Amino acid sequence: MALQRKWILILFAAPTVLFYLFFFISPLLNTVYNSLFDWNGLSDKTFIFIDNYINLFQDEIFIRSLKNTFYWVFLVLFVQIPFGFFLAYFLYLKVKGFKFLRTVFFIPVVTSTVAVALVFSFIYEPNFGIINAFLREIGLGHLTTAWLSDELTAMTAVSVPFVWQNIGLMMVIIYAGLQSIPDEIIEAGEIDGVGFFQKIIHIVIPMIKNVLIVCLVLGVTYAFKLFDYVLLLTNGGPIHRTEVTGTYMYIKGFQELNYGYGNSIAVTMTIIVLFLSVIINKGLKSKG
Amino acid sequence: MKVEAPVTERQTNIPAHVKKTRKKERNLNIFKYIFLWGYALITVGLFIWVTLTAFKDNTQIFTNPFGLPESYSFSNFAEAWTGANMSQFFVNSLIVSVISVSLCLFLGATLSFVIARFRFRGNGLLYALFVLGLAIPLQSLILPIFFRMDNIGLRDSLLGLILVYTALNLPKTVFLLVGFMKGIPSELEEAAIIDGCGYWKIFSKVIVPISKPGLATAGILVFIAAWNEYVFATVLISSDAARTLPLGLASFQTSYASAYGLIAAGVVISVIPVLIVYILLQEQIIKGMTAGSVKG
Amino acid sequence: MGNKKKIWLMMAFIFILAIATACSSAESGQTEGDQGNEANEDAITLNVLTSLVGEQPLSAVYEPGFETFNAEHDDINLNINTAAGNSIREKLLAEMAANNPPDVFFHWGTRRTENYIESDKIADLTELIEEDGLADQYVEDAFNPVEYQGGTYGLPISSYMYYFMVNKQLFEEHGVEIPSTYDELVTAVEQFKEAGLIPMAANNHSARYMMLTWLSQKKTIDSIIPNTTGEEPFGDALLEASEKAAELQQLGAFPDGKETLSTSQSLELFNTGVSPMFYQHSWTIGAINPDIVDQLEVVPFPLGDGESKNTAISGAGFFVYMSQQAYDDPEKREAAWELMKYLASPELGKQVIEKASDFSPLDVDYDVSEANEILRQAIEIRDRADNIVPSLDEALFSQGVQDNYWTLTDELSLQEMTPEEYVEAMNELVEEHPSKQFE
Repeated sequence: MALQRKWILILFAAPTVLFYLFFFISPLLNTVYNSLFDWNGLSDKTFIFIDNYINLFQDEIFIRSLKNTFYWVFLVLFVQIPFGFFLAYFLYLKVKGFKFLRTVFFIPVVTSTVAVALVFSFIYEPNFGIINAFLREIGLGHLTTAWLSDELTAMTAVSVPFVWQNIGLMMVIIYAGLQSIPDEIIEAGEIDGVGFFQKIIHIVIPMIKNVLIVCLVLGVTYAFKLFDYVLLLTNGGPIHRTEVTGTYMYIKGFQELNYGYGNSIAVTMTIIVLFLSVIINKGLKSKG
Repeated sequence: MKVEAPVTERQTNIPAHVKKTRKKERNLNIFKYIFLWGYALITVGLFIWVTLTAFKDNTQIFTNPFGLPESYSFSNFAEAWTGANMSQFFVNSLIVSVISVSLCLFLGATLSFVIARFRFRGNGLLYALFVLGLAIPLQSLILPIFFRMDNIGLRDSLLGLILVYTALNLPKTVFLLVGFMKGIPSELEEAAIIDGCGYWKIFSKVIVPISKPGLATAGILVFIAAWNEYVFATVLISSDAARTLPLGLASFQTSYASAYGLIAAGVVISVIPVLIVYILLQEQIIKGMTAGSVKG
Repeated sequence: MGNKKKIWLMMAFIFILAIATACSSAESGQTEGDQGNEANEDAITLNVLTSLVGEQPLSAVYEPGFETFNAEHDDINLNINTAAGNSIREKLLAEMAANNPPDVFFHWGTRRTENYIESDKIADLTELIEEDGLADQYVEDAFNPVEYQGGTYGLPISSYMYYFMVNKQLFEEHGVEIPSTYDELVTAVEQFKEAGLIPMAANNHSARYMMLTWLSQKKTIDSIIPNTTGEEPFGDALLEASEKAAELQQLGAFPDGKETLSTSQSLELFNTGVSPMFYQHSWTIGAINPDIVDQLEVVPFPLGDGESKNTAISGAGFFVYMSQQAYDDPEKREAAWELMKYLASPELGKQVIEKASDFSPLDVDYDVSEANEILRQAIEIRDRADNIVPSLDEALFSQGVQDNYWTLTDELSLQEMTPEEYVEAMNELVEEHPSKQFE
């Protein structure tokens, strides 16, 4: 009986496990392995051990792409999550049209990134895009610029769709967290006449700390994961101004055929994401 | 998440010191509405603007970006749908997404059943292997997956995409389903065993029906992910016959870069089906996304 | 509970829809095959990669061209893959790396295929061309860009010329003289700028073409080759040309964010009358707004200074190649060669001129009344030029230089680099990747 059970369980689990090993785990190991080679896809591989990694940290463009990626992390921290928080909090404070608002806020989350990127390429278009057209309309024509190539605005411009698309997600997660706060606690605050911001800082945020950690981990992972926007809007250019680690890996791997190098970027990205996730989880949880 | 009750005053007896803050509260209330509705207006406004653009030609777009179109002809939509092959891409996306969801749920459910309902050595390790997948930036798998699919001859095919999407979505499916199945009381299973049911029957007649909400949640998440995926598709697919909607939309932009109205029509066509599905199923989708991300 | 039911209904509906559409699309796929040659089971299947789709004017020739070929050859099945415009580079790269290249594909000259030739991925066609005596049907020098160390690797299908086009009506309206020298161009730019127009409908490619033209006005083909092999560094000619490009940028001659505009997007600025001047590759002639052709004129590109010669930049630009893998399989080789000969035939060459309004490397007679007015004017300008030089962008540079110098030129044009630094960087780049084409 026990033996039979074992075989049945293996029959149940084996297809999934084998499938996963073949299409997920083994490619992952492959990435690590290939990052130790110099290989252009056309000629033979040469084993160069960690040379790719050494070159990587002397590569100015990679450093710039890393900085740009951390700029996304920064935006997640100081724009996306706070924005999502206030949307959720105001919805939680009960408003007219709650259902409509929530529906609208969440629409970007289910829309494809390609569509979002195309829409933003229209918005930024220097000659007829709505931003410049609007600025001209209200007499601020001198402020118009090429949002996606101007040194001052390019990186922010490619970040906006990323930040905007996931605000809705942050909102629903935080909203779910807010709902779990017992009514008495909020009411107690109201009776004490605590100010708006004080209430948020001292009462609300501590109550939903775990949810915020989730948002943070999610946002940081997304900042490293999602680069479709950049690929579609600027392809990392002009002259690498909007390069992020994801696009740089893609360009090295698929546009310049430097597979070993591309893989070493992928491994570095994975390590950074895992490291950050652990730090956020450990750091914030132990503090409380 | 049900619809909230209409706005009502929370308290009737207001202490004196709270009254001072009353004015502040009113200001806050005004700010609240401006913030929420302003943000909603931007989102809706963008969509309306793109839709209007789809009715214009380039001269109108350049000279009158905000205005209403001069006429409402659907030529851009018709051109995008047939001339630019959107109909084919649409069908491909549907096939890929639906089969990926089915396969992912089947593979995910059988494994989750084993992990959640049985104790054996290596159980925790097996589970950890899948949970690890949640933290990996999937882009790091692009290069090897490209070669793997090429080796087995499935690179430029819908089947290849289905397998890749299934694999990439397995971690979150297993994660959600294990969580769900662990919560099922064991009495039900025991009753089934007493009835003399085999494991397959327990799985299909007891566990799966009870797990329906969990399966639905996971299914929706996988569907949205597969329907919208772009990066893997762009690497793997090269023929028109196997292009999915996001890919078609992007290649459409390179082929017709200056036909702005046509691109806008393509965006509208690609967004509307998801929008309809979303509006019909929004409670479930929002619940799913929350559960998926909070747990994952 | 009702909600859940809705979900299942919805899913069931989607599933049925998917199956239904899948079946119907499979059927339609079948009928498409029938038109071609589905009956023949011994047919050889050729994988073809083309970028001539969408709004590319050449697609008007080659999309029907493939269909005609397919219909006429029962023994050959064409499996057509597409990657529009420049994206064919990435697509080809990926397929080459996966060791699964298309049998027949379109591409530019050795400036983009050198690496494949060096790693034996592309077939040397010298023998085939000789056997069929093909060389005679092309204009002189048509094979130059695909000759590499003694071998000939592709068949030319289209040529290019950079043409300078003005909107006469806008010039008259604003009382501006059509420029024939650089100084006059600067004046025209200032006047149009004043009038609130974008003087040149340019993207970064056109800005680079302008710089190359001022360089070439002081060069001949024989004096420019040593610059690409590293024997002779670029000197004052490039410096002066890049200074002019930088100055025009500062004057605001180009649209904001020209780096993010595709070529056809920049042409739209000209088509809609936002810009009075346009300097581009001749493939764009077929995409000019036909409603405004009467207002347009092609004129020689403004001369840099007193020493500049009236120069047309022109040559063969786009080619069809066969992969080494297809070449090694005798049956495939025969079929692929059959297709290539058709794609590079005088029949299609004539259509390139008449239907797609582009230059053809084929020595064909064409019906002048069929050809586009702008193309006719451009051909005349080329024939009247004192000096014809191929573009450094299209030929002569090694792939290593080609892969990097666009970004470098963008840095110049975004003012991250001075013209002096630019010339120095170009010389370093050429030194690092000298052209080995003529060894």
